[in-house]
Amino acid sequence: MSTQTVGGTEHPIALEIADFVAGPFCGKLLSGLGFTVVKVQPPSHVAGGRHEKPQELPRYPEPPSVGLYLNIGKLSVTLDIEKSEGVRIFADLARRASVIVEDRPPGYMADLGLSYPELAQANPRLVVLSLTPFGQTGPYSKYKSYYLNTYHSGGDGFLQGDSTPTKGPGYMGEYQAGVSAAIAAMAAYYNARLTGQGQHVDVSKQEALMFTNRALVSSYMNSGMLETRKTRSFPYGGRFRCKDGDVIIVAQENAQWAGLTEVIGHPELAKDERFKDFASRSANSKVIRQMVEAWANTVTCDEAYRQTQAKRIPIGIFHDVGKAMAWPHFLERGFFQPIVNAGDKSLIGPTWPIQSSEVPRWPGPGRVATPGEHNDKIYGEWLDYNVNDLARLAQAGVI
Amino acid sequence: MTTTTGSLLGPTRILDMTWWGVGPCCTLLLGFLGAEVVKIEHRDRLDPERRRYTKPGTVSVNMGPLFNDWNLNKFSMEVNLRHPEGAEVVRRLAAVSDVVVDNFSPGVMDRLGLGYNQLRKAKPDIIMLSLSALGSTGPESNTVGVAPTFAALSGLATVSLTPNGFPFEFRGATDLTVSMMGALAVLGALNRRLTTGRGEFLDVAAAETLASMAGEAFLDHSLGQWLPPVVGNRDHVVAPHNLYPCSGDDAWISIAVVTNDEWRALCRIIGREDMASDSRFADMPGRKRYEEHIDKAIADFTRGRDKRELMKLLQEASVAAVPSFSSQDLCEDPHLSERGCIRTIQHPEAGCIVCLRPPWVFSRTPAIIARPAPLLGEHTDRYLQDLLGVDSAALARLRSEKVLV
Repeated sequence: MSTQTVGGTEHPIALEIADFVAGPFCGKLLSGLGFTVVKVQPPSHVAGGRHEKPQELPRYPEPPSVGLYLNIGKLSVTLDIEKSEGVRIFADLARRASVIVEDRPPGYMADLGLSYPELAQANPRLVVLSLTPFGQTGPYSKYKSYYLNTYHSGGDGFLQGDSTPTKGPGYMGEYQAGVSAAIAAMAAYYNARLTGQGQHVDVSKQEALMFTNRALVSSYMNSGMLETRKTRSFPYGGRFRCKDGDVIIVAQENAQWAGLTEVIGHPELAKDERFKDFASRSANSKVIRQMVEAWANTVTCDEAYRQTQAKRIPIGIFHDVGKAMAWPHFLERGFFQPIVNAGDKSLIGPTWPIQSSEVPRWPGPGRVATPGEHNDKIYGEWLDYNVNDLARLAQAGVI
Repeated sequence: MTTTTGSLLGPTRILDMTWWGVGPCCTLLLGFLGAEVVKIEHRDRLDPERRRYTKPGTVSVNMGPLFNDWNLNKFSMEVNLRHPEGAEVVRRLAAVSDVVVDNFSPGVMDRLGLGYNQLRKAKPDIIMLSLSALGSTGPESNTVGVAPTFAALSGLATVSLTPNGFPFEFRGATDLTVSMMGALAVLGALNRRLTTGRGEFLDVAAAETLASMAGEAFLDHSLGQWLPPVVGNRDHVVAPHNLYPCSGDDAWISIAVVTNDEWRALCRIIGREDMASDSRFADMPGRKRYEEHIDKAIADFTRGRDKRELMKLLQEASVAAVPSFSSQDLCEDPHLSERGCIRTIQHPEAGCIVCLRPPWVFSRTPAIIARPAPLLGEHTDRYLQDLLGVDSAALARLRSEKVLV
C-alpha cells in the first residue's frame, strides 16, 4: 500500500520529518497536489513528553501561527526514531510511503539506519528528499544555519534593504526553499510512477535561493558586473507617499514615462529634453521625484493606482496584511478565505497559490492535528499494531 | 520500465509562449527536469531579453545574456501569431504537446484563438498554465504589474521592513519565485493527468504566490495577534539575530543565537565571557531586551575581521554564522565549487557561457543542462517538418505568406 483512499480517491502518502517553515511548506504544497501528508514528530516535542536526547538542531522559537498555517490537514504521529523500535516503525511507515521529506542534518538519518539505500531496499519506488541549508555534501554541509543565515547564504540578502543587506520579509527564504523542494519531490515522484524507481534528492536551500538570482550570478561570471543595493535602486521611480499610504511606481520605458507625465498633470515634460530617455531621466531623477511626490501627496493610494494603471504603467499599493486581505480583487478570486479552525474561530488566510480548474480553491476550513493525534489510526490501521502494542510503545516512550 | 537514467519527466513537450522573466524561468525549471520546451517567438514581438545587452554595440537577437541563461535547453520556432494561419500552426503544435505556458495579459490568448477551451479542442488533455501579476479573473486581472508592484499588493512587502524602516522594493528574485510556483503547478497537473487522463487550466497569480509565503502573518492578523513588522534583520523573539560588519567594503556576517549553548560559545569567541555569565543575558528574553547592547559587543569583534574566517570560527563552535554573500562571493565560493554548482556551456554566437546548474541533485535521473539557449527560429523548419509533416513546398509558402517570419 503506497496510497491511502479518501472518498474514493487514491492519495499517495508523504512522510514529513521537518520543522519550522521550509520542509513543512513543501509538505503543505504536496498536500495541495493530492498527497496525504503524515507529520512524524519526536515525542519529546509533545507537551509533558520526555526529553531524552535533544535533537542536534534546536527547534526555532516560531510563532504558533506558523504551525497553524503550514500543518492544516496533515495527519500527525509521534515517533522517537532515535530508539531502535522507532527506527523499525519508521521503516515500516516508509514502506507504505511514496515520498519522505526530511530536513535533519546530513548523516542523521543514515546514522539511525534510515539512509536512502536502506529505505529503498524495502520500497524501491520511494522518493526521499533531504532539505538542508547547504546540501548533503561540501565543506558547509554540516554548518548550522537559521532562517536569517540561510537568506543571506543565497545572495538575495546582499541586494535587499538599504543601509545594510537585509533578509527578505518574514520567513521568505524558507518558503522559497520549500517550493523548490516541492518541485523536486513532485518531479521525482512523477518519475517513480513512470519507471517504478524512486531516488534520493539533495536540495540545498542556498542553491534554491541562488536560483532566484541566477541572472545576477551569471552576469557577474560572464561580464564581471556586480549588482549591489545601489545599482538596484530605481533611479526615478520607486516608493511615493500618498494621502493614506505608500505606492510604488515603475515607469522605465519611454511610453510609460509619457503616460506618467499626464497622470501627474505635467504633460509638457514628455517633450522636455531633460527627460528624453531613461538615462537622462535617471540623471534628473531628483526633479522627477519631487514632481511625482507632489502629485502623490494629493491623491489616495487607490486613486493613484487607478490613474496610473489607466495609462498601463505598473503601480502597486503597499498593502499591509490587513489591507491585502480586504482588497476586493483577492476576495472576488476567493484567495483569502477561512482556511483553518483554531479554538472557536475560523481564521482567514491565503488559500492555494495554484488555482486549478480541476481542484477547488480551498476545501473549507481545516484544522491542525495535535501531535500524535493519528497514532492509533496510522499505527493501528496502516501497520496493524494492536491496542496492547500501542500501549507498550507509549509506555516505552517510542510513540 | 527503464532502470537507466533518463529524462525525469519522460517525454513531455511544452509550448512556451512567454517572455521576460517569470514565464521563461518557469519553463527553464521544467527544461532542467527534462521536458522538451519549445519557445514560440517572432521577430516582430521579440522577448525583450533577447535585446538587453551588456556589451555596447551588440545587435544580434541571440546575444542577450539573461535570455541565454533563462532559456537554456529550449528550442525556438518563429511563428507569427498575428497571422490567422500562425495561430493555426500553434494549435496543431498544441495537439502534439502536453503543456502550454503563457504570460500574456488575461484574455490575449483567447483573442489569438489560443485560449484553454480552443486548445482543448486540439488536445483534450492539454495542460495550460497562465502566469500573470494578479490572476486571470477578478476585477484587477487586467492590471500591469512587475515584481515590485505585485509584491506590494500581495502584502508580503510590508511583513517586515528594511533597516531604514521602509517596505521592500522587490526585484527579479521575486519573479523567479513565481516561476517556481508555476513549475510546481505544471508538475502537479502532469501527475494528476497520469491518474485521471484529464488536462487542466492553471491560473498562477504572482501576488498570490507571494502572499502564500507570509501565511502566518495573515493568520496572526485574523487572530488579532498581529505584531508590528520587525525592522531589518531582527526577529520578534530571537536575539542576537542580526548582520555585523566585517573587514572590506560592504562585507557582513549574519549571526543568530537560539540556545544558551550557542550564546556561551559566541561570548567565548568574541572574548566576552563576562557576558556569558551576566544574568541579564542568561535567557532569550533577556538577550532580546538587551539586543542593542549585545549587537554592539558582537560588532566590535567582527569589525576588521574577514567574513569567511569568522564563519569558520563561529561554525566550528556551532554558532550559526553565514556571510551575506554577494554574487561575486557565490561565484568564488569553495563549497559551491565542490558541489559543482557552476557550469559552462558553448553558445554558437555568445561563445562560452558560465551558468548555475539546476538547483537540485537527483541521485538517479539528474536535472540537466543539455543545450544552450536557442537562436531565434533555430528549430522552426525542423519542428514543422518532423512534428507536423509540413513538406518543403508548404514550408516555402508559409514563409512567403509571412506566417512564420
